[in-house]
Amino acid sequence: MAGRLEGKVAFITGAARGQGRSHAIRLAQEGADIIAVDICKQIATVPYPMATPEDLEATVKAVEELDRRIYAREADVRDEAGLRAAFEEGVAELGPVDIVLANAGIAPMSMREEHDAWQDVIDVNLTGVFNTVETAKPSMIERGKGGAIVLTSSTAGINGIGGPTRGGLGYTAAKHGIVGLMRSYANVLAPHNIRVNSVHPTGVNTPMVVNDIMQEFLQADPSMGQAMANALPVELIEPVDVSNAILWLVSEEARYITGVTLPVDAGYTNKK
Amino acid sequence: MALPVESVEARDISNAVLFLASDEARYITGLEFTVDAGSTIR
Repeated sequence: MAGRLEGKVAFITGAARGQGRSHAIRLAQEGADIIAVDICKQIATVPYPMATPEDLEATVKAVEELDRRIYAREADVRDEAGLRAAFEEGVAELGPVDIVLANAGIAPMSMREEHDAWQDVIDVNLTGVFNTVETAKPSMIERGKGGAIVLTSSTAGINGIGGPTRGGLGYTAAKHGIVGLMRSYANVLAPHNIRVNSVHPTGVNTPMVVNDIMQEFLQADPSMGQAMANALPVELIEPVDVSNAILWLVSEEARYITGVTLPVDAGYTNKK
Repeated sequence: MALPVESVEARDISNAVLFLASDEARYITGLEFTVDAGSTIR
């Protein structure tokens, strides 16, 4: 059976591990070729270890094992020029992009208040998403064959969660900001048949959430732990659950779905 | 409509319902889901 994304090319940020790697694999399983970027470096205010070049290499191997092509490069979503260079090299290698997943994000929440955490999370989680769409947009419009863009927000893009620290407030502000970007881009790009939607995951079983510092942060404030509880009896969802939602949004089955905030949250948002 | 289309087809609703009912959406619940070619956000 032919895949649902046969012949498509997807540009994915934050693809070295976690949700980004899962998206690369899930889309490749359905026939897509992948342009994968990731910073593969630490940012000082991020209290847990970020992805490494070895992580990105593991994504490459996983996609190649599916007999799909992948072009992977280290790039920082905060660096417009570097991101554009990676994108253009990927397009030269694999062909024009049909799908964009602005997935890269950080969660600089910790008990130790870092002054620069606000700016860093705004730069990566909001400006980085903007840079990603701006990088891919011109060629998608010029090509005139439509496309699909999914911006990764959070339940913290719908609700005032994330806690009182500079990093937590920045995270929630950035994830809300993504919704504004998504709605504007959906309108601006609709005449070009380019659809734009956002996904809003609850806690996902990835290194960004499942690490000692995040657990300490959540346990320090009992109301946070309570606030993180889903309606469905599941503590953390898996990366593939977000990938499946994104796969559907970028597929032909969702051809008239645009401007939608899709929670993948085990009923978390509805419970509030 | 925001997308250049006058109306959606019945099968577009069917496709959305199929997705929501499938195991691929196993942790998606309690939402309103628009299949409206972007008309809500205009």
